[in-house]
Amino acid sequence: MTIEARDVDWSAAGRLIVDGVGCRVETGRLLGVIGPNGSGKSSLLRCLAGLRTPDDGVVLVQGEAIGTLRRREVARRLAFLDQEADGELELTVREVVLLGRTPHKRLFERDDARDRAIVAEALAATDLAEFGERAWPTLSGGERQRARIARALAQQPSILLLDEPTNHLDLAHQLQVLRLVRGLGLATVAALHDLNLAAMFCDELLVLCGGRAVAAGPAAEVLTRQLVEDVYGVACAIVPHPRTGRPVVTLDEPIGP
Amino acid sequence: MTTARRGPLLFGLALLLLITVTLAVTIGPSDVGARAAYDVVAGHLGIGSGSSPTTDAIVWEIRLPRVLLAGAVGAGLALVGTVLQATMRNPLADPYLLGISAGASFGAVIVFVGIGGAALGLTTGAFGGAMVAFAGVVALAAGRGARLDPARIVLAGVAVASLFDAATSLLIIAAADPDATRGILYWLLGSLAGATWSDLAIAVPLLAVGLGVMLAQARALNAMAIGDDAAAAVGVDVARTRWLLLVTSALLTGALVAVSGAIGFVGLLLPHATRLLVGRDHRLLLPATALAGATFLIWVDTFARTAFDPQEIPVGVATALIGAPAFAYVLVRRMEPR
Repeated sequence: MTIEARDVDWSAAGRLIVDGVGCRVETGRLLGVIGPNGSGKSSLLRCLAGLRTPDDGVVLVQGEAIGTLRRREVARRLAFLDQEADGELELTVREVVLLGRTPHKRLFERDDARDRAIVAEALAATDLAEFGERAWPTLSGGERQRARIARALAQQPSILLLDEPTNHLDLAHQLQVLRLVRGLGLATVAALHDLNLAAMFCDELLVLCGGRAVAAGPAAEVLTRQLVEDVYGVACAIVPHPRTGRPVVTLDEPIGP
Repeated sequence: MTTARRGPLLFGLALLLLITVTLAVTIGPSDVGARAAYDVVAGHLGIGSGSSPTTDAIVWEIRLPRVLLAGAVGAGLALVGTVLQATMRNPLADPYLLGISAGASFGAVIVFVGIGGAALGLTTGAFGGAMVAFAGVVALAAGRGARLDPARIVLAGVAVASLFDAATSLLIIAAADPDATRGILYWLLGSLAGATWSDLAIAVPLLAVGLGVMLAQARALNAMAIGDDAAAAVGVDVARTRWLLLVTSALLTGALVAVSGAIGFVGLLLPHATRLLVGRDHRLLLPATALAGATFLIWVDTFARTAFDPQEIPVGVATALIGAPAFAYVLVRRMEPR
């Protein structure tokens, strides 16, 4: 399975938010999308998920234009996790995760043992096995994020699109989520803020700035001092990780009076 | 989970409704026992000997149509309220959000004051007015690409309802006919007096179709709780679903209002109360609210026609009298920390 964007333009209220961006991800590969706030990461992911229609360019799922597929077919191949917006849901965790089964059910079809097993598996994979009957508002930010990932897993997609999946998570759970995502072996695109996590987990990085792709490739090639300075306006030093050799970005900010 | 409780719960509510219908038919100025009432029904179904002409007239011509219409209207309004609260993600949504009652009232008043002429019946006038108002709301709310944004629908509904309400008041004052004014007032508050089998022939088929359409979208309604984009991401065509449900709701509400007037509070209170009882899975919630709404409105209408005998109060007044305290109770329960 592959997902591919070709020269995608997308604008809102007359402003170009995504400007001629292309990318391609295959099964087993993890593409990290990095860039400052407002660089178009979320909008690009929404275009990839088929939730926004590009003004120009095309998004292809296994070679088929996503705009020609029905929502249900898209959702059977592709799961998308947006940044958290659903704070006050009066649902249990299990009910939220069960929504991931929606694209696999026909009209009037009931939940069967298989659906329940898939939901239980998804809960277990995200360390939420004991949380099924908990009411959504009682969860911490990190637990909600994991439950949303469980919902995406229950969808059994081949492609996974994640908008800042490590938001609200503590260090251990950030690693756990990214390890889990990697371990699934799907074609995955994740927008990430933490450059070091991106360098550690992603096969390739796509750097956005002002809606344009300013760099793309393996982390070791893309993450340079010059790039971080140009894109984020932040001084830094980049050193290889002592064990893995992957780049580690250390901020070079003078501290003190 | 809900799947296990679904059968017994719906069976219990259906049984409660059956008992309610039976009791409601026996309550009234003249004594009719449950047995006699069943005899009348059996007689008309051709499986029994029937009953005396007087009893037959009371049960078959007066009480039964009224009780059944109360049930159909209660079920329909409760369903529409449930669906609109979910599609709009707005706990205050009710069947009249779409300008329907204001439009129907305007249409009815036009007929009352004689502008439409004798050719236009009250039911037709009210239904026509409801549809014109709904078209106005949709025209105002639909943005580019026919996207229906919930916030815009609510605002458009308020604007259209205000306009039609003002026009209705203007017409009533302009007519300056005390008898017509009194008749209009009764109609505006909602009344099930004078219910006939032909009213049921309008309300029941539409209710059945509406329930079917809504049940087919039950999963989509569940998913819409997590937001438009998230619902789309799990495979719901949100724009299409919202259109389908809005049009279904408008047609059903328009038909119900046309036969009964604008009965308030049922569509707001029953969804909340039933949710408290059965949870938020629309596959269970929709049939449960329909049964509960029918039961509720039958009892309220029975109260309305008997409590201040011989004077009957408009059922819309009774729903508010009973509904407002009940709604307050539900709100307090909802806000209690769990």
